[in-house]
This record gives sequence, structure tokens and C-alpha cells, in this order.
Amino acid sequence: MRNSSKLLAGKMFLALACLAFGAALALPIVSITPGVGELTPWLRMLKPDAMAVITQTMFSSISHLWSGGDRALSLLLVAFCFVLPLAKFFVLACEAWSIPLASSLPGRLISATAPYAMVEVFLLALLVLVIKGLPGGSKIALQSGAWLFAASVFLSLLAAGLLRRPKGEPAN
Amino acid sequence: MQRLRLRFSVEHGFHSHINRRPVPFLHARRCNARLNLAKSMPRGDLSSLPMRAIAAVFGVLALVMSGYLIGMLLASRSGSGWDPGKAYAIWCIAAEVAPCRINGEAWDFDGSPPDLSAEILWRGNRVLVSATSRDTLLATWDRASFRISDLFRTEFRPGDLDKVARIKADASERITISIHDSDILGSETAGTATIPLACLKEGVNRVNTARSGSALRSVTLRVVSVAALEGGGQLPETLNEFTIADGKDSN
Repeated sequence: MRNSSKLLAGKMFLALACLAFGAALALPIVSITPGVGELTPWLRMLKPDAMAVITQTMFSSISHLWSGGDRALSLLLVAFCFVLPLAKFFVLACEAWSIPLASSLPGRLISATAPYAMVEVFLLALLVLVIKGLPGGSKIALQSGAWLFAASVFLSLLAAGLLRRPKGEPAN
Repeated sequence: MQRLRLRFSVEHGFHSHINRRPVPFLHARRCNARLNLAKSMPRGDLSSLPMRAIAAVFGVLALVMSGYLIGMLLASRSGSGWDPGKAYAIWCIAAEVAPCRINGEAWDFDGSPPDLSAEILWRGNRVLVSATSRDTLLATWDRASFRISDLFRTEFRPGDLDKVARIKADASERITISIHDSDILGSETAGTATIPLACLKEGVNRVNTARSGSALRSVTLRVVSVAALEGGGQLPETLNEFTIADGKDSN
């Protein structure tokens, strides 16, 4: 049996996770400053476009991939960074409002794919590692959007823990 | 009692998962009033399963959309106004002067327009002198310029080409823009504008001057944080236009 304070806390964490996820979609997630060692200031003067700081939001990165021809990758990103997190929030909301979704086929599918939602944070961590290892002094910095994504993942995990129904307890 | 418990679990379904445990008699009596209220509620209330499902879906979507709007608001507000903790690069990109001097005389003796240069004064120091834009009433200047004197320096960095004023100041401070007409015989002031830093925003700032004793009509400044300038990123293009009259702004 869930007690009401745990249920309330779970709902609050879920609401905060949704808000953080929405804000993360709007804010920049990563910025990359290209560098070519000692020639960096000269290239900045002679070819500023090539040395411009690249700042990406979730939507801009997906649209760049789509327009660049990497449509499969952009669809994968849409699925893992947008559709699945939303589906996870729906499942948690159903848990919070005692809707017996988990036993249905869509519910089982969503629950099975939920662990892969927000894989974005993991990919960003990999990207940081890869670019930090490049020669030339290129810099990569995670922006507020990435931290909000991470916060959204953490809050949704907390919400899932608090809203989880003990085995054998029916939804309604 | 058994009937009451049954009614409770059916009609008060919103919390039915909690209330399925055996209900003590006194607690059941306390809930009786609420049970009667639930009985009188219409079919479209949150106790029905489809309505709860719709509420959950729309609730999640509404929260995500709210977060997105908050994020957009934060993204649009960040770095727009004057931040005393940040260093800014400021330079003049354009100025407009009257067709003739204040006293009605032509700018040059041969009837040609003036040769205009701009200065930025801050805390009593001349922190920027621009190149000269020749024979024009609408002067324009570039951020980077190269002077012959630069060739004679023992040390030269690419950043030295940037002719910008670097300013880190409180928003209550002011800078003075002075536009000069340079002739063979010397230089004289065409007009000045004292601008409160609080009025400046990152991007393009067009300052209209409404002073009777000045030939300066407007001056356009570029304001960029030093970090953004040195980072080589795309500079903000947001236009901020305001009018100053005798040192006071009427934005």
C-alpha cells in the first residue's frame, strides 16, 4: 500500500521532471569552441565563420542531422530523447492516478523501453570525452539544457521509486 | 457496515488503492459525508477511468509545454541587459550628423561632407578612437582596422586589430560618445552623446540624440560581452533603439 505522502512526493517529482524536460528542450545543451592550437586567434580573424562557437539545442541538433541527410540518426534521437521520455512520463502519471496501464500492451511496451529513455545524457557525456581528447584545444561545454536533462532523469527516477505499486496490488 | 465499505471503494475510486484495507467503523462514518458528495458528482469527474487517463496525458503535456515556455523565456532573457559582473566590448558602427554645422555653415570649405571619427570616453579616459570615415554625413566604422603605426610595433597580436573599448562597469555609470570632424587644419567636435550603461543591451544599440545644441543626430553602438567576442561566436544582432535628451534617456 502506498501512503499518501509518498504519493504526493512522487507526483511533485514527476511534475518537476516534466518541467525540467520541457525547459531542457528549449535551452542549449552543448557548446563547442573549435581550436587549432596557436593558430586559433589568426584563424578567428581570417575565417571567423569556421571558428564560430557552435551551440546546439535538442531541436536544432535534430534538424541539422535531418537536413544533413542523417535521417535515421535524427529519427533515433527523436525516439530516444523526445518520444520515449514523454511515454515514460505518461506511464508515471498513470501510476500516480491509479490508471491500470501497466497491464495493457502499450503499457508493457512503454515500461520495457523506459530504461532507454533520455539516453541523451549518456551520449553527451561520450561527446564531451571524445572532443576533450581532440588535439588543437577545442573546447566543449555542457550548457543548462544538458543539466536540466540530467535533472529530469534523476527526478523521474525518484518519482518512479515513490509511485511504484507493490506487487499484487491492483491499480484500481 | 459491509455495504458502506463497498460503496466507499466504488464511488471514491480516486483513492481506492489506499482505501481497500479494512475500514474502521469510526473512519467510515467520517467518510460518509464525502461518500454522499461523490455520489452526487457528475459522470465526467476525475473518478472515472477515461477522465483520469485524459487528465494524466494532458497534465504531462501541459507541464512539458510550460517547461518549454520557461526555457524559451530564460533563453531570450539571458545576457540581454547590462550585467555589472561582465566585461563588454563596445564600438561605434555608425553615426549620423546634420547636413551642416550648428551655426549653419558648411562642414568643409569646399562644400564636401565631414570626415568623421568616433571616440568613446569612460571614467575620464579615451578608451577608443575609431578610424576616419571620409566625406559622409552617415559614417560607418568596422570593428577591425589597421593603422600604419601598427607596423612599427615590436609585438603584434591578431587581437590588436580589434578597435573596441573594453568596459566593465556598474549599470549606473555612463559613457560619452564624441564624434569629430577631422580636417587638414585640425579636428573639431561634431557632437557628443552621454549614454547611461543601463540603457545598453547586448547587440546593436541605436541611440537617437534629441539635443538642440548638437549636430549629432544618432549614433549606433555594438555591445558584445568580451567572452563572446574572444570566443569567436556569432555576435548578437538584437536591435535596441532609444533616445537620449541632454544626457537623459527616453527609451
